[in-house]
Amino acid sequence: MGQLFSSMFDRLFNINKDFRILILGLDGAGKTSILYRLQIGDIVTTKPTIGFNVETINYKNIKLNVWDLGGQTSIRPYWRCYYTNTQGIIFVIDSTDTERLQLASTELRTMLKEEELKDACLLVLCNKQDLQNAQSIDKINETLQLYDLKDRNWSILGCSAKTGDGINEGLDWLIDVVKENNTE
Amino acid sequence: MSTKTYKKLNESNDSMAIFQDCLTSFNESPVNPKKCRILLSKLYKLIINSTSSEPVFKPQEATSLFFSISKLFQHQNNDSLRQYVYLVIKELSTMSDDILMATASIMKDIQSADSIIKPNAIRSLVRVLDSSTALTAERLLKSSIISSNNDISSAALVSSYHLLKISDQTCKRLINETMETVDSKKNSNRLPSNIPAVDLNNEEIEKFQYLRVANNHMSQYHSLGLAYDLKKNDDMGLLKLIKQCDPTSVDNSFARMEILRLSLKIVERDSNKIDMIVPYLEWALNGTSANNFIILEACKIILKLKYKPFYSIVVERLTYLINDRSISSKFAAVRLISKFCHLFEADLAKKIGSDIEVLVNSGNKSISTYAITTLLKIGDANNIESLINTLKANDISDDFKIIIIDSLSKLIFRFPKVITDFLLDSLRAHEGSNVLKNKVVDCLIQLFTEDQNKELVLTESFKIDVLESLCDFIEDCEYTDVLSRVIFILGEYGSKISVDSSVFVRHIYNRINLENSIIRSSAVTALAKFPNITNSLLENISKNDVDDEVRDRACITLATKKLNNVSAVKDDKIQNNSIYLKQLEARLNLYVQNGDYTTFDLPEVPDIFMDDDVEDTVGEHNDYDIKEDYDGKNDNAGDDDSTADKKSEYILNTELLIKELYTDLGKLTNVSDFKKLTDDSSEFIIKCSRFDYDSEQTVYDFEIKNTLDFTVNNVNIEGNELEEIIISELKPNETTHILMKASLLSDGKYWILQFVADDFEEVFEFDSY
Repeated sequence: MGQLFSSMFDRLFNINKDFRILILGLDGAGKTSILYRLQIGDIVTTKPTIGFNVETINYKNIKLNVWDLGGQTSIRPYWRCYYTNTQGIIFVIDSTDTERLQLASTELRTMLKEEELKDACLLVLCNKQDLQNAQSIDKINETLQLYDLKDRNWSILGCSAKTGDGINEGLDWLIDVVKENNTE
Repeated sequence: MSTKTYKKLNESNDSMAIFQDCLTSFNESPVNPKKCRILLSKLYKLIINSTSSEPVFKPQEATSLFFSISKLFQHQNNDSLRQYVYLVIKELSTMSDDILMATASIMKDIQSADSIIKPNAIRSLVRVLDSSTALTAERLLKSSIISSNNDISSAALVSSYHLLKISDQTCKRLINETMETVDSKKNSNRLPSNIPAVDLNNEEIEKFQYLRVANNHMSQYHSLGLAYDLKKNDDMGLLKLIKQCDPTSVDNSFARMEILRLSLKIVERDSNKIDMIVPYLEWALNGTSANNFIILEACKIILKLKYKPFYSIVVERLTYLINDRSISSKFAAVRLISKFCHLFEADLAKKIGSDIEVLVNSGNKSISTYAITTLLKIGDANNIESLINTLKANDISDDFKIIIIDSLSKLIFRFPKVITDFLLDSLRAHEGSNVLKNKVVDCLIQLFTEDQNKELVLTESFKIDVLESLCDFIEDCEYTDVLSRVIFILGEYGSKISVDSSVFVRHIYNRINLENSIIRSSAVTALAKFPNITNSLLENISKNDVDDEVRDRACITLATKKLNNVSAVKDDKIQNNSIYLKQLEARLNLYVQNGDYTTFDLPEVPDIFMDDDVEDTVGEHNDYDIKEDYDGKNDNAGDDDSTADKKSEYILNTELLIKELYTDLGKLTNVSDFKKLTDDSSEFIIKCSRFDYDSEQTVYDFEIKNTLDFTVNNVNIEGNELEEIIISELKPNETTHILMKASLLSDGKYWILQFVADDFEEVFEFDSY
């Protein structure tokens, strides 16, 4: 009986817990736009982020602390200062930027190697799908080779911060797996 | 019923413990805002209270602190936590690396947060910006400056002022917004407009009202400061600024005072502008609403500018301030009077003197000291004895004693007895800094020299008394330099006393046995002044002292005595001339190098050094102490000094070089300033100066500077009848000199100098002048 109660409390507690989500990616991929699309549900004008933006988002009764870290080369080294206690990572890719896709892949791999992120779930968002020259998800995954990741929940999705397509779907998936991860 | 309790926190203030606490608490998710706030306040206290010159945290620690604090930005809607975050970020920004990571978060707060934390955010933003990111803050600063909230506007203005050092480019773009703020009226939400209903005594209410008046529309003051800095090189712009906001249209008291100061700066640059400032001063002096500090500032400006028509009203106003209730007004006024009282004519001085006399017995020692100084300076010194007795009774600090001794030094010859007594007392007192004691010695030396110049008006017995007191003093003095100067006095003037001077010799000789080598050296020099008594002593010293310098001095003294009539360099004019001494040194070096020890010519003192600017400089130097009191120009004197010194040094060095090259030139009569022969953009900057000699010959000194970014080899210079001169290499930005006798150049109207380097050739043609 006592055990049942405590496990129920555990479940309740975990569900009410804040989740910490990082949005990472190269500069100009659209991280800040995605953050504010999530928070206000609209597109905002942004300028290159020097440092980071952090917002608390209430999404379907769950409180998310979403950190959008600047993607410029000079800021990338500091990503690691914000890895602790992170449950989910949203890695944003500019689908039109074929030239730097390989660089994005390298950055992604470096990040995933970090000890502090070994339990974090990964959502890769291929942004700017509304544009003509955007590459398909399959094509992008050819470079990223996400199929290699066996010990981590991951998903790759197309989206557009401009129109809002695909963003909520991505977040729904991420929250589901994060919740699952943390109640086990 | 209310109770007030206080619980003393018995927690450790160890920096490492706080550091660890901070790291764990700030990295928690979710954070506990109350706990973090307390931790931040501890951290802040730790940093602020640190008295050591080392930063509290090493860069690495500070950086990890900084990153954990940056995580607190996720905690929205908690103003007091956020304010603490900003306070600490400001302090950490100097110790931590990578502070730019907070930029975006701070900017967001400036854009969207409420007016409580906005000013804090603005102030922190400037600390994290560097020259590459400053431009991104431009729009935020602009909108904050024109904010209708005084606190936000002030924060932005002051921050922009600090940003000047980081990126003046960004700040220059803020000029329009700044100008807009100069005379706009913004209200502060920091200070309530009504006096809070707490029990305050009168003084506190007064202070509160003062603060309210002063702080109202504070952004006016801040924008003036920024606007001045942005326009300080633009004379027209400054004039426009002052005209736009004459003190009547601006209503912050600090801003009004700032306008007065700015106008003073303009008038100091261009004295024709004085008409512009006069109505302001009139307003400030007559204005009934003006604060005391504005009146004071106006008085100060009038006295600095020596604007006579207003003197009587200045005196009236200062008298009013002297009688003001507030101690600080009294102090400021009497200090101002003491600095400028020499400007007042007798009747004005008398008028103010009677009011000052009241202050002599003021309970505040600083005020009474300045009052005494002023009375001494005004020269209304009939009661000087009583003044000095008051001084003796007052236990005053060294700084003030120095001020007083300065003013006494002007009177010392008129009242030698009283003043010398006072001086000797200060000298013998056990406390007292080195500076003070040196000042006393200055004063005494002045007394004795003046006495000599005026053919010994002081009575011998008085002088013997003074010297004997000094003899007592050197028995027990801790300052080497003071001691050796006193020994100089004893030697120089003790030897001139007609009665038995062996008592001085005994005292000086005692020092030889007891003191360090510096003092022993000066004692030897002093002993040398008593030729008949001390020969055997000196011989003894020259053999037995352990120190080279002491023995040398003794030997030289004995040797010159034997030669009997060596004309030492005695002339005062020469002794005071540093240029001459340098030249003498150079000659001596040359003499030693040559190895020919037969003849040595003392350098003549070229007239040129004596008559133009150089002598002024020397004179100025001697009068330094006296002049300091008379006008504020001494700030510049130092600069003049060094440029003049540089010039003379240049002349001296060049002249020596010329003498090596060409002989029989005669005496140097004139040296011209450097004249530029090329403009600054050319490959070589060539300047020329002309040395005229009384043999009617002229030597030109060409200064050639290579402005190219590579080394030029084999620069070959050819003139019309000139032998080739080759400079084997001239590095970038290197300067070289070439000396040429005028007769070698052609006498035509033009000189053609041909510069030939390895890979290019350049011909310069110059007008001969």
